[in-house]
Amino acid sequence: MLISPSISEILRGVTHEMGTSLKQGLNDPVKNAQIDTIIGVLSSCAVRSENEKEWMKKEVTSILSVAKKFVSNDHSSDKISKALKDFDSNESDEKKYQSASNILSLLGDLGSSLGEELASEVWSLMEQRLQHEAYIIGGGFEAAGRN
Amino acid sequence: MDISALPEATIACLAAASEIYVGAKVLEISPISGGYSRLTFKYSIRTKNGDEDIVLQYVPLGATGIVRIDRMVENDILVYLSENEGVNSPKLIASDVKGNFFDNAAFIYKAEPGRPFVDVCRDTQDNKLGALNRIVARSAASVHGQDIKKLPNSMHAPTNWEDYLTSQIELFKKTESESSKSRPFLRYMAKWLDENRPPAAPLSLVHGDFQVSNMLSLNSEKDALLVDWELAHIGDPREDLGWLTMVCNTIPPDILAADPKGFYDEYRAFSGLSKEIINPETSAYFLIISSIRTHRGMMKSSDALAKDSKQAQSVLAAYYLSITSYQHTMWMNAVKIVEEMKRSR
Repeated sequence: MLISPSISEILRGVTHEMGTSLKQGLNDPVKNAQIDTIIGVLSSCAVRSENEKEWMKKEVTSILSVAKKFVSNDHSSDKISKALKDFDSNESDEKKYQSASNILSLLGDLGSSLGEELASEVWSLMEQRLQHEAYIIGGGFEAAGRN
Repeated sequence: MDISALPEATIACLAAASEIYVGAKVLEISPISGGYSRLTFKYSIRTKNGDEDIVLQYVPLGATGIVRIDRMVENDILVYLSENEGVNSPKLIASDVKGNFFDNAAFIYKAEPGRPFVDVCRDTQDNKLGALNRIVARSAASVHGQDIKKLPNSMHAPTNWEDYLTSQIELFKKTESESSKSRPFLRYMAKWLDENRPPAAPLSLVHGDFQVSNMLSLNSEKDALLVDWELAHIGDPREDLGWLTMVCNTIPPDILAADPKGFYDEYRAFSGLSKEIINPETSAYFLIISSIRTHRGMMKSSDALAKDSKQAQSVLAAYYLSITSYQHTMWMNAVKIVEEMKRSR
């Protein structure tokens, strides 16, 4: 199996060429916007291919930690207790991530009833996820063909 | 429908609307960029009364925008705006909602001799941008000042503000429950929006895509014309202010940030709405509310791509992931703004 250059290296090379030689001489604003759109998609894929697995594991660990704290603090939520039990039945990283996302959604459903400390921890979980998403899109967002 | 067939269909559609266009000829065609789901052209035409410029907006058959549009409602509001003063909007000359002349919906307007407002903003020095945001404020207030009882019957009128806001918050939950995956941001926002409801505002006409890119500068830049009414509906006026805030943050120049106080003072003076109702805090709240319709469309599109990678417009569907991530950032920032303002009171 050929693993070098890596997926992200290939994608970055392709997007570089698209953004330079392919766009040169293109006067059609619609085609330019389409190329910018494809470059945006491939650039995000490059970041994901480098970091996705690690970030998923990191988020899962943080979510489970807060959820277990929530349950051990005598907060009653059958849904969260059940979701934590269900989590163990997942084998793949992706299913574990989806299961943890469901737990995060359940925690979000509780809003201010979580109390200040736990609410702040849930907010931090959302921010952690947001950080990863922001990194994938390159920190900000540029509307293709609009800027 | 091939683009080359559009001029003939345009003249046929115009001729059906008015006798003066019978036998008219297209002299020149120029494409106008903007809009992901429809094509826009400016045509110079010769009629028996002389030469004139018109604008054609045509929705290609099979084109799917982010949000499903009821073209009949769009037509009705365009007719209403053309017949009623109060909102500067393009005058509709003819339309083809059922595709009798085109193979899909098309709208034909009188062309207005104005510059794109966004170009005017980009050409203006930062310290003078504030003066331009007054025009935007007045434009927004003119939309929201329309009497909703006089709006076309095809526009759905919510029973009351409370129920309307609830229905918008429910859209967050509905979008999440319809998705194949759990979406924590949608669930978090649904709960937060419900727990932090702002003061009620009178229901109003909402443009639905209120941004400087949808404005044309008129009268030596003293006034502006508002275009692209496809997302118009009856709702909370602050949806437009929230959406404007979101777009200003995304696509420079940010004319709101140039002088927020001037903008809000002007809007309040022209709308008659109070400071309690209209302020940066409520705009931040409605930044979240106003984006759920597009967010919902983009989520559906991304989910469809996950199920079938050979679906049409797969590049756009993948691109939407970046926009939804960016919206998450904007939502979280909006929550921070509201929470901080609450703490500072």
